Order: sequence, then structure tokens, then C-alpha cells
Amino acid sequence: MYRIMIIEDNDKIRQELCDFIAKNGYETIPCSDFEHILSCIDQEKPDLLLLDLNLPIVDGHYICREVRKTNTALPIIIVTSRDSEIDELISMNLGADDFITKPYNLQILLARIERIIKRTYENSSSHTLSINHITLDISKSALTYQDKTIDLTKNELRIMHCLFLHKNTIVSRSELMQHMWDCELFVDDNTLTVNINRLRKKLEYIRLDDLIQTKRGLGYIIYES
Amino acid sequence: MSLKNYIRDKLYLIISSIITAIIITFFLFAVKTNRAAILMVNALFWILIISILIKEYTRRKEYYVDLESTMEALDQKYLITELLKEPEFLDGKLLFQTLRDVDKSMCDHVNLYKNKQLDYKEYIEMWVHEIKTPLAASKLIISNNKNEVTASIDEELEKLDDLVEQALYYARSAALEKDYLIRETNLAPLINKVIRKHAKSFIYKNIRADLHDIDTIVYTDIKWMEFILNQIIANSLKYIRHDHGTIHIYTCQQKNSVQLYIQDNGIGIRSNELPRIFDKGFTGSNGRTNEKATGMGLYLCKTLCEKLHLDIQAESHDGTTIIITFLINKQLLFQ
Repeated sequence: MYRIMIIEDNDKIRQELCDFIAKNGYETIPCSDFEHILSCIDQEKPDLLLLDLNLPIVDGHYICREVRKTNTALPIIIVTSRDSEIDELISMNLGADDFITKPYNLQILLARIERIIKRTYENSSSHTLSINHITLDISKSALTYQDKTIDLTKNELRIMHCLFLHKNTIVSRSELMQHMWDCELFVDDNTLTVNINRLRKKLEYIRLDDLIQTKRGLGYIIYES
Repeated sequence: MSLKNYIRDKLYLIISSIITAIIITFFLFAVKTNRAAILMVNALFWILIISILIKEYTRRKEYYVDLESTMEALDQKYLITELLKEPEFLDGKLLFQTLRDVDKSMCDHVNLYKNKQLDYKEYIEMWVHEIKTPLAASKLIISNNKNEVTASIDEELEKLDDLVEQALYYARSAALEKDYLIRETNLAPLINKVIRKHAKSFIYKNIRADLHDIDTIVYTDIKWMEFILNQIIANSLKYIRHDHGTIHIYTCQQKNSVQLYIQDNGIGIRSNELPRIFDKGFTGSNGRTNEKATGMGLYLCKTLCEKLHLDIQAESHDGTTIIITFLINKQLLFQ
């Protein structure tokens, strides 16, 4: 499990951020001892740093610079309420990997954490999810079952991705759309229907007729047995 | 300063000289002075008076002609004291000194307000950044406790966030100094970001987002542009009220410019209100009949566009179209 250190001076935000990130499958290390942040980082050896810019005693830019002196590999995401271009530029120049402004969209924050961790620690280029020996390869945009593979379009891939992520729970149409919009696929209701029908046709081809089940009036679901 | 006006101004001197000359002449006649001597005295007297008049005229004429032409050439009239040299005649000197003092005290006064405004802007910026912390905390709490109530609070927080942004950009738009950075920017990620921000409204109201040809490079400030697009799209979303709502966003390449069209098929704007929609505080019939309209959104768009040297226009047939024109010619922007 990857360990994320959260350096944030607001107690509530730190607590809630820890809860949220912990819920999504990471171990969190909250840091509130602002006098000894650097030694704390050395001791704990986190896999990723979430760093606020406005901190008591020393500011985020200083920490970023100091960390980079000794540790060039540790990914740093800067999270701040300052939204000037200059701050972003300074942060990037000091070696931060990403820059997110408050109030942030948590899904986006999570997506960025995931992306950076993947890039840094998991060199295998393929990214796959699987349920009941059905494998969804996200980087190839393909679905494989019993040696048969079908290629998915961008929209279909995102639908499958969302359903795979929420296996065994009902995903409503609006949740599905929200997920696609978050990936910059701006589909409307009709397009979604068309895409789901096409996806089902493709699934029939590899004998997965009832993989996606419809819950009338609620949404769709994929069961894992 | 014409000769006529000058003579009128010096009439008292001329008249009193004539009277003096007559009195002297009569007096000299009375004491039986030689005629040649009388003529001589008169001549000397008139040479004196006329030379004074001519000298005074020429040096004033020279000075004021200079003043008038400088004044005319000046763009900022209050800078005149910096350019003018001090006159040689006493009344001019006194006036010149006064003018300088007045100008200086005016400058101090203006600077006082400039500083006050800058202070205020800095305070607003700080305040906006401060308030984002509790906003972020609230949003975090909401996403950790998802239910119907918090979802509804979340919507309100979105509105709060937008209003806070508006205050920030209002303070920035009123500031005299530049605090933006014009750079080469691709419109596509910017537009996608703004659309994504409004995803909930689009999905909830079942409005289609139709984007094409937006992968275009323009010269603008990213943050400001994002704010402008955000306002326009929020407006479009607000005024679409039927089932087949669509927002088209596309760009058109012109000879020296790129035009960005944001077109909706909402209720549109009445043609008699169209010229005024960018005015501060103008709400129009749509804004008044609907829930709250502050009349600030489009005004701010216009102000920010002007600062970024962009042209923004609105058209209305079967919905509203907002057209933003970006100049391609770099030289024009970096002047």
C-alpha cells in the first residue's frame, strides 16, 4: 500500500483529506509538527507528498526545495489556495510534480495521485482491472475473456471502467455520465444509451451477454462472483 | 494671446500715458520752453512707453504660444507643469509656481487613492484565498459524508465559490496595474475544464455540449480566460429551459484573428436589450423575471476582455451567441 504524507496546517482539511484518501486505498501520514517537517519526511519515508503552500514557520516552496536537494524521486503534489500563475510556475521550477488549487475536485485530486504514483512506482505500462477472469486493459482500450479480445471505443472504455470500479454496486446513469464528463467525454443521455447498446452487442460476441445488468430505474451493475 | 487682447489689457497704461504726455506738453508750453525741447521730451517719453509695451508683448506672446501648443500635443493634460519652463516675467512666475503646487498636491491626492485602492485589492485577494480554506474543508467534509442533504449543500457551495471568484476578478479588473500574463494558450483544455466544472448542470438539465474545432492556439491569460468562459457558460446554462438544450462551442479562423463562438439555444436576449447586456448592473427582462441576476457577470467579462485586448460581442437569434475575437498578430498584444 502506498503511503501518502499530508502536510496541511488546517486541522479539518488535514483530517478530512486523510479520511478521504484512506478510503480510497492509500495509507496516510498526517503531519502537524511544522517545525520538524523535513526530519519527519526523512523518518517516515512516504511514497508521495501532498503539500500546502501556506504553512506556519516555513512555507511550502522551502520544503519543496529542501526535499529536492536530497530526494529527487519523491513525487510532490502542491495543494494550495493561492491560484496565481507565478506560484504555479515557482512550484514547478522547484520540482513539484503537480499543482492543484483549492477548493479542489476530489476526484481530480485522486486521479492525479493515482497517475503520479503509477508513473513513479509502477513501470509496467499496462493498467488492467479484472472481474471473473474478464480483463479490462485500460491502456490498450480492450476487453479480454477466454482468449477473445474486443476493442472498445473511448466512450465504451470509460463506461466499462466506471462499472468495473464500482463492481457489485449499482451505478446510476447520471453517475456514469458524471464519470465520463470528468474524463472530458461530454456525452448526452441519448449517446449514453447508444453506447451501452453497442457495448452489449460487442459483449455478446465474446459470450458475455449478461455482464452488464440493468436495474430498472436505478442504473447498471456488474456482479463479481 | 492676440495683439488686440493685449492692447485692451494694457489700455489703462496707454490712456494714462496719453494724459501724462498732454499734461507735460501743456506744462512745458506754459513755462515757455523751446519747441524742440518739448518735442524731444515727448519723443523720449513715447519711446519709453512703446518699448515697454513691445517688450512685454513679445515675451508673453512667445511663452503663451509655447504653452498652448504643448497643451494641445499633450495626452495627459496634468503633465503640463513637467514640460513647461519657468517664465521670466513676475506674474507668470507666480502663476507657474502656483500651478506646480496645485499639481503636486493633486498628485499626492491621486496617489493616496491609488494606494488605498491597491490596499483594498490586496485585501480582497488575501480574503479570497483565506475563504477558500473553509470552502475546501466544507467540500472535503461533504465528500466524506455523501447524502442528499450534503449534495444540496454542495450545490450551494459551488455558487458560493463562483461568487467569491467574481469578487476576486472584480477587484482585479478595477486595479490599474497589470496582473495577468498573456501567453500562447490552447483553447481546448481550457474549454474542457470549464465544461467539466459545469458537468452536473449539463447532466441534470440534459443539455448537450457540442464542441468542435476548439483545438486552437490563442494569446491570452489562462486564469482570466477561464473566468470569462465560466461566466458565459454559466449564463447559457441558466437560460436554457427546454429539453433539447445544446451549447455549441467552436472557433472560426479569420484572416488576422480567431473567433470563439459560444452558442446556446436558450431563451435569447431581446434585441432592444442587446446593446446593454455588458453594462454594469444591467439585468434585463430575463434577469429580472428569473432568480437573482446581479448584472455583474457579463460586465466583468467585458472589462477583462478589454484588458486582454479581446473583443466580445453578443448576438441573439434563437438563443444567444457570444463571440470572442482573439487577435493572432502578436505584435499588437505586446505593445
